[in-house]
Amino acid sequence: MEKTIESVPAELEREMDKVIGYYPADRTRSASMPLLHLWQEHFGYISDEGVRWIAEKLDLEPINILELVTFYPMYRQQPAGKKHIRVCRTLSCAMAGSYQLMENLSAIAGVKPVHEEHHSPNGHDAGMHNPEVKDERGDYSFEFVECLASCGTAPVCMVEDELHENVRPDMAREIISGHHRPGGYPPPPHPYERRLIFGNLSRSDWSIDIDRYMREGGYEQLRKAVTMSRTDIVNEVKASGLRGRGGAGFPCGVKWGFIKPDEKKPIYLICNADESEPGTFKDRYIIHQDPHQLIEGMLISCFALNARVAYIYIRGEFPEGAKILERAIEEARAQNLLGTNILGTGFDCEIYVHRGAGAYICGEETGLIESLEGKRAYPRIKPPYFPAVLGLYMSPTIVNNVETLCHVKHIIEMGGAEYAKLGKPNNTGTRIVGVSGDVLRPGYFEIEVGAVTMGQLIFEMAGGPRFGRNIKAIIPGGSSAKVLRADETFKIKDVEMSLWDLPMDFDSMAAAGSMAGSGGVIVMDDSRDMVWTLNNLNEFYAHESCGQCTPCREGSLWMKKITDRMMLGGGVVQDPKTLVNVADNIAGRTICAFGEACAWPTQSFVAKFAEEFEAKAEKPVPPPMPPEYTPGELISDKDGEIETVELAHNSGWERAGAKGVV
Amino acid sequence: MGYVRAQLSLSNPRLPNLPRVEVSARVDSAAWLVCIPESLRAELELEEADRRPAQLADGSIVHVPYVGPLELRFENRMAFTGALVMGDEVLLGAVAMEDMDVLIDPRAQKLTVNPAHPDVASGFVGEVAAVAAPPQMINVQIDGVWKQFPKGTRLIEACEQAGSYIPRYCYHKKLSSPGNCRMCLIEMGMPKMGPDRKPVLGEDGKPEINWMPRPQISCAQDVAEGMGVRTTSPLVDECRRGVMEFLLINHPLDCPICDQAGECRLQEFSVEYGNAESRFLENKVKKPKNVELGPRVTLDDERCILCSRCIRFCQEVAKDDVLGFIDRGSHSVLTAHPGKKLENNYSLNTVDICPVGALTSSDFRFKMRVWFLKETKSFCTSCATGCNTMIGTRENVIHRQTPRENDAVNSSWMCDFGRLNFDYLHSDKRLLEPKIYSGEKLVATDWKTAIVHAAAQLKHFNGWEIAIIASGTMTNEELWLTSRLAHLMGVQLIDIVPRRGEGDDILLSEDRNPNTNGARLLRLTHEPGSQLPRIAEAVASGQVKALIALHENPLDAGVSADALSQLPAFVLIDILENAATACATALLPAAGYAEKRGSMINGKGRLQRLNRAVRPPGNARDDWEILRDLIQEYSGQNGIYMIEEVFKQMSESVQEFAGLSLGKIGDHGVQVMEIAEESPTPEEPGKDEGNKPESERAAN
Repeated sequence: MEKTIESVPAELEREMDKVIGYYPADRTRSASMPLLHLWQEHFGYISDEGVRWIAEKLDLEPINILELVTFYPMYRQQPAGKKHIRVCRTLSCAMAGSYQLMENLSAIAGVKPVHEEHHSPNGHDAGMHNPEVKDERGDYSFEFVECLASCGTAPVCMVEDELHENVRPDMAREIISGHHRPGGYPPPPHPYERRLIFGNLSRSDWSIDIDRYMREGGYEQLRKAVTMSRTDIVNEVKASGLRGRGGAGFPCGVKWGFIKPDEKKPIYLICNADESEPGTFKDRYIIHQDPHQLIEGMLISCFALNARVAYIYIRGEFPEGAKILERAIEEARAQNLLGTNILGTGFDCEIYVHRGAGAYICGEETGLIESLEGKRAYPRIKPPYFPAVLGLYMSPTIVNNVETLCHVKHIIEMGGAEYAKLGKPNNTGTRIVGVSGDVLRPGYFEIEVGAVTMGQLIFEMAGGPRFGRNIKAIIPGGSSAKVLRADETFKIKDVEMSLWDLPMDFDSMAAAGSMAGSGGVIVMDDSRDMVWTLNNLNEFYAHESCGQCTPCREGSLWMKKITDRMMLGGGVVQDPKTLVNVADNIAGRTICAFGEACAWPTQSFVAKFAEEFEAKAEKPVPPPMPPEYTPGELISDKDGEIETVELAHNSGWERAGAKGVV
Repeated sequence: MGYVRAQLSLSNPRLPNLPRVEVSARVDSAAWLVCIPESLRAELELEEADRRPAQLADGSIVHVPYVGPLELRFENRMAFTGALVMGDEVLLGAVAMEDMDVLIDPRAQKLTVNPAHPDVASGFVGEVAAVAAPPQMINVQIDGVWKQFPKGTRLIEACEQAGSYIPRYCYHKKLSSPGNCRMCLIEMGMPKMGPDRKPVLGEDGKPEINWMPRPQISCAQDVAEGMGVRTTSPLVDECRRGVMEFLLINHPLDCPICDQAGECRLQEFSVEYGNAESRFLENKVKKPKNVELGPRVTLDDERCILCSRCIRFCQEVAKDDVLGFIDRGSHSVLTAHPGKKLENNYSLNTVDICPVGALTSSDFRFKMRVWFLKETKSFCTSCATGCNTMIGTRENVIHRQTPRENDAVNSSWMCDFGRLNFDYLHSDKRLLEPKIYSGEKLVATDWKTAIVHAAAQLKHFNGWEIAIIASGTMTNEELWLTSRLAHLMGVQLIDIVPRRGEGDDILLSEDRNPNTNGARLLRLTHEPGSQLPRIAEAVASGQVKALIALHENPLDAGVSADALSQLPAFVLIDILENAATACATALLPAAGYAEKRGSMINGKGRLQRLNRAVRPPGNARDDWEILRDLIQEYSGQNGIYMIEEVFKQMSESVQEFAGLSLGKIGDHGVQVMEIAEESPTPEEPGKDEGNKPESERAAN
């Protein structure tokens, strides 16, 4: 199979040299990932020759490149089928039938579905790679991938680089034959909505080219901002009370304020477009539907921060988005809105698009920075590596979410004080929430923060549950947020309220014991098995843990193995307790917030749906483990008893006897 | 390599109107004083203050004028000094260099101002004061007790100093801190700040502490004023237990067949933080086993806890970025790129720092349980660096050699070449019996007969008929006794054999003799090898009729085989059989470096001590005893009974050793000479042959 690459085509190498120029001359290691993408686009996969060629090109060791190829699942070390189909397997898509879709696709191609191919009851798994199968003739290959950030149109799949939405399992044949078309956005705004970021989307004859954008007053705010002083802009952002829309909700102005005014090192702005929190699908639409809004927001931010270079770190699964942004950047450059001497002000600023390659951890800002530096996305320890002090290339760096940067434009337009009147104190502005899962009208809604309650959002805006179903649980802010029961009541500021009365804002969600996070609301109705749901999420986190620090690396996979075994009928009575204890041992003890992200679902699911977990964990605790014992034995056993093996020297085992109970 | 030269500006401070003289001076840190030629003295009208004896390179003493004061300037530095009037060029010696705080940059081969304080042109008083001032002390509360630590102390080290050892896997004080193992989590707090932004003081007058709700790692932070640390709280204990469990769930738990057993951090910390029983019911992650990472290192990925110490070592110390992690999450695997091996000369250090049994030494693995090893502190004699070592032996067999921390010498590392260079001590070519030439062949005899015989052979000849080829691998004590013997016999032809190879910028020195400096100091050589051509010639011409060789093969030193076999007397003290041993008229088997006590001076002028890890094999004897017996037999002088006495006598006549004893050298050595750079060695005949390490010479 190994093709010998006699020489890299001159055109490809020219393209590579161009990309290398996006990074400082002494930091060309950053170009590792873009070069790998270019190599893979040309040759179909990354051979060892590719690894060595790229290493030599960038003056690195081959291991430096091999580390990346194996860390980022989008890089292939084997050729794919002629048609490569990636099906999302994470929660919203799985609930909408993506496993069935995969089975149907596989049946048409005559292969075993990936999840069966790569799963044995003994708990062996495919490893960190995305499970994948290819048919014998190499016509098709199917890959299960983690969240493609289009949860509102679940299930989704990607055929090569093209996203297909609302792909019902019975549409498998259309997908294979290439007839299915992406589904129907955008919907008209709901009356409860207040559209700032998505304001342009509902305009008639809206298109994403710069002329159309400028007809709607595009880049006027940049023109205004460059006449203001840097401090004034930062102060406006501070006054606006804007909180980060990426998940943590950190005040944006405060973050910007960490940059010293007399900073001597270069300052970098990074737009975090690695949207991959399951349940979240807002940045995709901003990038796809209104890219210039992001560019303008970034340019204003760069000016305010005195950043001369900005990078958009866009996740690898958004190849179309990356192209759109690149085109938008070129359009802006043609208008002298970007590049050297912007609008005659003497301010120079470049924006480059940097593509990820399938790693959720790149959404963590220091992991993103490492990734942008051309390394495995291992988050950095803080202290000392706070991005605003020691960020990209050890220079001060601000990392902001796509939506956050877009808001900057509107803050300049409205003025910070005026913007702050939107929403509630400490929860200002608008934000985009995405509703997915078991509702009739899933999708995104831009609301004033706190102006809509959970009940209004779910029942009125998203259409409520499917016919004959009741809502059982809601994850309010992306899969990492703690789950809330539909019948729960909360005490918010001494007021007793039901889940449906909860206002959709940062502080109320925190008070309810969860978080507003990235605004991805996942709804589960009473048909859902909570152990199954948690297992789906656990698989996501086990797959996405970067593996750098011990608790998350080992704990995430352990939790997944437990819920997996429970789903296969091998749950033992101690499992719920073990699950929570493992999660407790992860949260708060890791390098980055992924620890909490993977622990919170387990902690909350087991606590809030204890009865379901107990029901799946009824087998007796096995005796002290003899070496012959395997989880497979637990699973295959039918009578609720565990087969025992003679192990005379182990008294605990002897006492356990045939019942397996000590 | 020539001498380093520097552009100096000289003037007479008493006659400021005289023009300054710019000269290109030869920089020689082996010399002490400044020397100027007579012409320069006249030009600057320097006054003669004294006449002083000066020792020339060849050892002769002359009396020359001492003049001054002389003002020296180099870049932003200046000094007043006196100068000896001799030679035909300006020579800058060590005292004035020290005074000006300038150094020889060995790589650039030039004189530079001390980079540690580049701008101290204003004078040294400030600098001296700064050096003398105590470091800023930081108050830290550790487990309820306030303690003080110098600013910049790593928290994990501070806790250890305070008696609370914090378990750790990824942290290594000589490497960067990634903070990935999470074993060193502690509770931390900072002083509570009042409205006046000053710490709120408690009843005891100490700051009250705001404890952080989350545990923090102690390996990546320095102590800060008013910081509070709890190392033994229930939360900390819970954290360590959690991490311990996580590390073990996918670990194979194969201690019975693991080489690390006995010195494994997982085992160690399991005792305190492990569970007796596992609650892990799942299958473990499968990973590659028995991977040959390189010619000397074997990897078991299932045992690896992904602490990245080895990766960081390769990047940061060995400068050979060859290791990395592939794959992700719990499936991450340590590996090298298939086309590249871990084969740098420092690869075995990764085995030392691996806290678990993932990386094992292919040489040592499965040889011996570490708890059976008797450990002896010593140092490596494979080059002039003299890396401090621990020699692991059992039943008189050396099983391994590992580096021992000494920041003045080798940090915590040593090269693979030196580490593995001990097998020759167990070679079947070892000389085991003293032998004398009787009639036509060498016959084994007892030591007394051998010594009497050897001394009798030597007594036939006078000083000019005897030559001594000593070795830079000998200890100071042996060299000193050799020089005494030479003195007694009036020997003039004496030298050591230079042994050079390729060096690196890390530890390996170009000088492969461990004690060249000792040989210089004890006057066995001025320039190693400079006398060898004369010796070879004198042997060939028949002028020299008796040759004593110690730990060197005269054939490697340029003596022809023919001439050697014709020698009426050839006393050879050595450890391995080689081409020369057959020519000996008295063959005295001696001890290898691990078989004896003694001292050497490394390339940087540090006096270090060898300790005996094993006994010499057969009837081989400690060299100093052989030499003592020879001296006694030759001269009838009184004997010495302990090697300590040798050192004592030596220290009475060698100023550098004054006040020292073998015991006082200690485990970490004592700096006795200031050597800024290795002295260059001119090309020598026999150099190539001499390059080979001792272990390889057996083959000749």
